[in-house]
Amino acid sequence: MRFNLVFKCFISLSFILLSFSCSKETAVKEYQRNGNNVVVRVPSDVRTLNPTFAFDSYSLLVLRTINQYLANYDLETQKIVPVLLKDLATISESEGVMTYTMEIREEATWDDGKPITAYDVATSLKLLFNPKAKPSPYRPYLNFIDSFEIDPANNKKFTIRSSQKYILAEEALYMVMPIHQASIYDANGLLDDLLISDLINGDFDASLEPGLALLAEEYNSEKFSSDPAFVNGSGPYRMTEWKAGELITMVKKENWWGEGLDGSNSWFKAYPDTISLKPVTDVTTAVQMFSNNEFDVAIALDSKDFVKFSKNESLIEEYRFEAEPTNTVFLVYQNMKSPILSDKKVRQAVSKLFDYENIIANIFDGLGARINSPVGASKPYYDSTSEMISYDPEAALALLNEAGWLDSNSDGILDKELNGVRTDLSLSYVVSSTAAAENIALYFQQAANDIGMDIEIIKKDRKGWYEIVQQRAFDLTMNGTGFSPGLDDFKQMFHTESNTPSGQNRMQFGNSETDELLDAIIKNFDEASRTEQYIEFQKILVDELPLVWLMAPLSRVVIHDRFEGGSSGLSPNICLGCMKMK
Amino acid sequence: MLKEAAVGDEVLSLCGEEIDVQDQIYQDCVRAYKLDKPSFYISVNPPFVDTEALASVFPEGRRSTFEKLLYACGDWDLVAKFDEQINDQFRQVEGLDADRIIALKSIKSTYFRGIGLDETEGLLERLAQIFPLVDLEGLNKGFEGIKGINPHIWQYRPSIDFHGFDNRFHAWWRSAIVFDFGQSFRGRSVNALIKGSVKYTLILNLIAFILSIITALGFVLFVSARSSKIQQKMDGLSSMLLAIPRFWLATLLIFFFANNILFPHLSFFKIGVSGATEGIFSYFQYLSLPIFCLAFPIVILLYKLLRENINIELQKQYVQAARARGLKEKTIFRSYVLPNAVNPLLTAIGSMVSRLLVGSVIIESIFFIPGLGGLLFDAFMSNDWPVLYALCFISGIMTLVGYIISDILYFLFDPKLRIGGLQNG
Amino acid sequence: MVKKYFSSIKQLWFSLRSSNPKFPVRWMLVILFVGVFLEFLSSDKPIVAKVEGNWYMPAIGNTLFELGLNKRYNTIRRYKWSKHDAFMIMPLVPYASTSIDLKNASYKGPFDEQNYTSIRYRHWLGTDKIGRDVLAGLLNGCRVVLKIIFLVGIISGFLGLILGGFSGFYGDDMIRWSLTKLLAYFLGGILFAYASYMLLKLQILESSQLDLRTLLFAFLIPVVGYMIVGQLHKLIFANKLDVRFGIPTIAIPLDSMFYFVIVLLTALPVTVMLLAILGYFQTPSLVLTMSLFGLVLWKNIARIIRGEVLRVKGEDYIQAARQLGLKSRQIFWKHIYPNIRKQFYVVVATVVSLSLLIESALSFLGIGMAVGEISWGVLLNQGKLNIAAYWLSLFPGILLVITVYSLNTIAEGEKRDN
Repeated sequence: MRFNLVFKCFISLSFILLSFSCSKETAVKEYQRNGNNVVVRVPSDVRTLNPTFAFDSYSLLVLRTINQYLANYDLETQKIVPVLLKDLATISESEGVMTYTMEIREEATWDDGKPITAYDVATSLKLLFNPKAKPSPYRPYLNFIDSFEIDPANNKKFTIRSSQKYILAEEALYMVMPIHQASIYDANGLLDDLLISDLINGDFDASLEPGLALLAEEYNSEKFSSDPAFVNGSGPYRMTEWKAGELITMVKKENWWGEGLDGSNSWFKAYPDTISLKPVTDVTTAVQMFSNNEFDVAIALDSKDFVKFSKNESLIEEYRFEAEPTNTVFLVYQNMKSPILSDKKVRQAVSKLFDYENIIANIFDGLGARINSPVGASKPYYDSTSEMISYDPEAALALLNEAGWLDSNSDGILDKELNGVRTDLSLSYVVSSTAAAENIALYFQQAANDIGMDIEIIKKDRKGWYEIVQQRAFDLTMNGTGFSPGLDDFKQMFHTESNTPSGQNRMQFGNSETDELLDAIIKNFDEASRTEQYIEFQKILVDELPLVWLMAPLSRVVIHDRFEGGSSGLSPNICLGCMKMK
Repeated sequence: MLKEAAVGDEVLSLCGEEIDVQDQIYQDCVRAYKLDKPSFYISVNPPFVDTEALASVFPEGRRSTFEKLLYACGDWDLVAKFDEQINDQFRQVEGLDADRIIALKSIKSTYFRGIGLDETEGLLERLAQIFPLVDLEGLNKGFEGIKGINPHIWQYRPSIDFHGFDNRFHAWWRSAIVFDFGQSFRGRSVNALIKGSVKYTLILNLIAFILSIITALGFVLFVSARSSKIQQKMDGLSSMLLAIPRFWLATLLIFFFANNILFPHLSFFKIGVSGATEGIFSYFQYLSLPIFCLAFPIVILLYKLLRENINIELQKQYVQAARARGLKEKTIFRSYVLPNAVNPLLTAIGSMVSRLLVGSVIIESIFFIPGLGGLLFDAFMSNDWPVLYALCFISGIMTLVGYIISDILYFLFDPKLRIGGLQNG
Repeated sequence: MVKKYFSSIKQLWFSLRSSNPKFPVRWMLVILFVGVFLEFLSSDKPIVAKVEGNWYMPAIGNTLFELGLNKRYNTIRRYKWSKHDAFMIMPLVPYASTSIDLKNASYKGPFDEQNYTSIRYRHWLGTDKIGRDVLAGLLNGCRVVLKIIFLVGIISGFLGLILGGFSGFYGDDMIRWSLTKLLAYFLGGILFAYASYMLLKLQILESSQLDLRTLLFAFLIPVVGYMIVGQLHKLIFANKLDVRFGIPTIAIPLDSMFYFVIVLLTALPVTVMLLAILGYFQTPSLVLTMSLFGLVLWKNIARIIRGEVLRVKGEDYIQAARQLGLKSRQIFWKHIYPNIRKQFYVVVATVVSLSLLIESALSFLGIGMAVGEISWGVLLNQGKLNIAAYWLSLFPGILLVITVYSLNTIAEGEKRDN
């Protein structure tokens, strides 16, 4: 009968396939575990390799592996170390003009043997400011440059001058743009005759415009954002293949100029032969693939999976589980101009209603640390005298009662007369669509409901959330943000001038005094007085509580045991080149 | 057209996030993507609305404010003049100190958020604080003019504006016909995204389809040859199985068969596709579960349909006649009942093709296969309208294709149609 | 009127009982019971409590809130009654679907060690990541099923019945309108459509997103407008002027128009459109999603109804009724409708079970879930995040399968019976 035949065919086929795949599978596994090739799971695909538009951590990760910067934070020690430069810049000041003098290493060369010179640096900076190119959000970081001079005697030495005093200017010069090879990126030398300052000010000959437009078009095209023939720079690895959404591969260069140059500098460590990044967005799938040994390294695993794996016996034998403190922070904005939250006592009460320990334990599976300040605990100007806020609903209720919120009509909700109208204590809490945000909101809502505060949770998608935040149409909302390992410039977040729809001062915090303090800090090059100012500011934050500091998540990185090293406290928590085969 | 009311300034999404809205680049972008054209061939609006001019007001927030003021007062010229004046004011930053510039910027962004009459009044007050002199008189007069008018309801009567072919709808369709769907909001061209995803979806669905047809046929033949008791049981079972949702099945299967942690011995299958490049045998590992999940409901459905039809056919007279003639049960079945029962099936198959895309969404998101379904889901999650439109379009085409296929199948299978209704058999 | 309503329910009940195997009907009754009396079965507030001499019934407050009769607050706060020595009767499962039990969070399974003060508080089916009880969630899911049945059933049923029924009944040439009537309706149509458009536009201008209520208004305006125009026309034109001037009448091809619309709608990729529209509304909610389903799924019902109406139309008694001079509308409602009622319920049941599946699928993917409304799909979504927590995937899935199966079987049984 027809059916029997079909059935038999089917069964036999499946048997054949089964038997074959079994053997193939083991062969594959062997290969993966023994090679000096690292396969990394990343949570999202690299967006672009054009540095003026790369913001997401994974594009930057690849960029930093194939390109180099003048200097950067060492991935392992989090201190600034010179990469292309011989040493960190010499800084001097005279008559209000800051001078930064730098020299590139002698050994630094491009792949084609030509030396890396200040000319390349100048061209790279000019590319950023090409007025015909799509405006890069990185421009504001560097538009303080007044002049760029190359030393006529030594084309690896150059000086940058600026009349603006800014403590973070040095870092910006180091880390905003990687250095491109001028002969590739500006093959016709169009930018040669232009001064950086002219480009910044838009002050140049109109006849150059078409040339600039052409250059901009080229720069913004696929060529310089994904084509392996062009994007590779002076870094230890060369990107050879990028299959969007599937795989991006980098291969170690032979005879790289920086080989073995500086053993302690993480940027000169390039042990693996090949590095492959596989974007796997879906966490569940990533978990499955990981448990099938498809990755050597997994970054940003869900905390629950991380914990589960770290307890799994067979996985412990093969992998290392690293959980390091990071510079990311989760916090809740309190809208200080909302009628109810403008009262300091209410804000303090709110901060006591978050069950921090349980949040860390349940929502983040214990992989988080308490924080109470935007300043990292390891920084020299951290205010160690400030206390951690603890979960205390009784105290919160007492504070609210003190502030005049009582349940006058016994309907279960506290109320008070505001402007002559009896108002219930009801706050809106806007969440975007991540599960963690929602869950934290639910915890908070439960605790608040218990003492008589009504919380309305409004769920929006990312764009809707952003709109609400821009319009400051919320009372409470949660977000994550990161702070840099270097000096902090709190103006972005706490100055009143940042209280614009697109600005970061979403808490609407600040008055003229705090503004003055913040302005003074960023111009203050004297460490001792600056530390005092930082501490003063932290005390203000503790008092006013515009933010509820939820926690700082730990990094969750899993590395195969045949490598040592590789974990880093800096986002995205991994140093690709540092992974050395044992 | 849904796009218009969607959140967010699409120019920014298309051309980069932080362009200053008065930059030349912004204007160039607008023109390049033809975003300054009206959205359809005609538009019906109150007569005071000049749709074409309105469409060229950028950015979206400013247009929104413009519209609100316009609808509040009903006089185009007044509002246009006011808008121009206030924007000129925004451009005058020379000679101002830093504080004033910041305040001005703040006012500007508020204006560009899309505000109504009252808020504009507040804005003007704030402006007055910055510029205690200068041409604010003109502005204030203009605004008083706007505020003062209370348009009669007759002003809102409909009037039709014809825009000819120079509109976004037309432009989109023109490019869609040549399969150029433009730029996705996430940076890459829609075509590239789709091209990358189609192959997975196609492979999965084709294989699932073929397998399910074969399996369903096999099952039906198997069951039909057995006793009626078994037949009843199987039919009942199939009803129950039909109620199982695909995604639940997928979760269960993953739990038992792909879960290395809990059931390492059973877990033979894997998820995702990155390893699937290693050879055809690993294809089996990776793809069998999704194919099974895709095929399962189809098999059950086909089975049910077929069984029903067979039962119907068996009641018909020609079967009795054939039996009376002495033909064997098997022959009757194979040569008469089956071909006739298959007919209604063909329509079902045609419609299944059209639901291909949607069925894939769930499966692909669970098994993480970067196919069209996953693309749709991602686009939906990130409000990526160009991709969504393109996928809608493709989906519509697939439906048509499905119908064509079922027509073709009809043609092939139904001899009556083929020979064009010849002899009265 | 009310008596008629009850008698039709009785009829339905009897037919259900007779034509179906017992199980599906009983199962749906269970769902109905659980859905209605949810607060007695699962809530974190007591059914009845006596605190400080006063009697309260806090759990019922939740039901009233769902029906829109109560504010969200409660008259008695949790810690108030747990502190005072109060007499209270807690529901069977002392957790609401949304109450968070911090002591047992992080996916406790039914067989794991759990942390509770008394055995009454044990989570018999486990918890999800943040500590919500699974059993409570399942029970709440029953209520969600009821909501789906009502919302989708009513919207799509109503639309399908009216549109399908009328087009089948009136066919292509039964409705004859005089030109004036046609003109009046046409102009009126444009006017009302424009009015709705203006309303929606002004709403968008105000808040850059659509509100469900405004949408409802926008739909109602044309409907009400049409009725008004119809009446006006009757008053002014119908008998006097038309007859006077001998204005010709035209047949309105209702059936063909209907068919055209149906074909168009079927060709559209429904779910993709649904996703697109859903993505446009920023705040997800169950009511919204279900209304959209209703609006999209009515065509299934309309098709079947039309077929049925055509079938019944040919019967003798309809002709007899016509001879007797009954008006068309009366014929439809008094004679045709009762005969197709059964099929109507059947197809509504099919549509409802379909929308149940789709709702679960959407919740499973994370679309259209409001915060705080737990349905079986939402539990499955939680289960997907942690596949090892089988209790989150297994139980809701089983319930879902059984419910869908019951609905399908009832539908089939009725169909077969007719």
